[in-house]
Amino acid sequence: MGVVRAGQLFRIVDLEGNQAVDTLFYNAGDTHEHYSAQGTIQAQGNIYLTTGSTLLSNRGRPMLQIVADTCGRHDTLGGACSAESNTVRYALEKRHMHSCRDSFLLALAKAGRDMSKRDLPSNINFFMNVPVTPAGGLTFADGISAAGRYVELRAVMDILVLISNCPQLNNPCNAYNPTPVRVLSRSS
Amino acid sequence: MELGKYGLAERDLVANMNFFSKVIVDDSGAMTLVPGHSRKGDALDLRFEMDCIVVLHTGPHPLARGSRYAPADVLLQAYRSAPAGANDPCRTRCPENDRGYLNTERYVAA
Repeated sequence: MGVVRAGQLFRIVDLEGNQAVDTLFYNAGDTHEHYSAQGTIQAQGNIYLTTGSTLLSNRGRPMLQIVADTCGRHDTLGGACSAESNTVRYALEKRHMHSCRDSFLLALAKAGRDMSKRDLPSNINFFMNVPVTPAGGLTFADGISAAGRYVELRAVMDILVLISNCPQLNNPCNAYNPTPVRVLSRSS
Repeated sequence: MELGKYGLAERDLVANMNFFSKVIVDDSGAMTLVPGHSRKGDALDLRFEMDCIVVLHTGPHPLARGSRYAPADVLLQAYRSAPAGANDPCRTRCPENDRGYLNTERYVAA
């Protein structure tokens, strides 16, 4: 977790390619206000995030704008993996493999902000490719990202950023091989 | 507002379902609400596998572009059902569902 101030630029770099970066954004001054997948998708009429996308909060206010994107598109529907979904999607005994929900909860527990599982709405998956079929199916496909690709956002308000660099080993969202990402922030 | 009566709040409003609406997505990710998708008398039966708080709201779909605000009537009925047996179609539809049912059974039994 970290804070990006209003007006600052925030960049996530996919260092080795095809990593999924599960991300949530909150108003740093009032964490009951958070990134809204529904609000953002409705307003832009499109399920993918890329340059030009405005990330709206659950109060209908702009939180961040994507100002650069060398990957091409980012996922709003795939959600975060979890110990619980590991048991359903793969096998009951895979409950205890690493997962984003556990990573999110650990970060929130350490943050000292009285945030918990109630504060985990639908997240963004940067660099993740989840095409939707005509029948409405989600396909967890190999990514379209590559080493060095990045997404850059400008904060419109002070933002608390929560990231889980997806550790999932059981599906191709990160090519079955979690790799590091670099997170940068700077004044614009 | 209704959620508040159960001790829930703004941050508990997560992504909801829109029953009877169909939205299609093209290759570019653009969404289109399919007009006239549900017809008079269409019905949906949901079986509850655990105790739930259900919050419902009738109103136009966010992508609807009608000129008149005219939410239509919906009939809600509740009835008792037998639990999902070993051959229940929801359980057997895929291995993921079967594991989900196992998780619920363990949760309810605890």
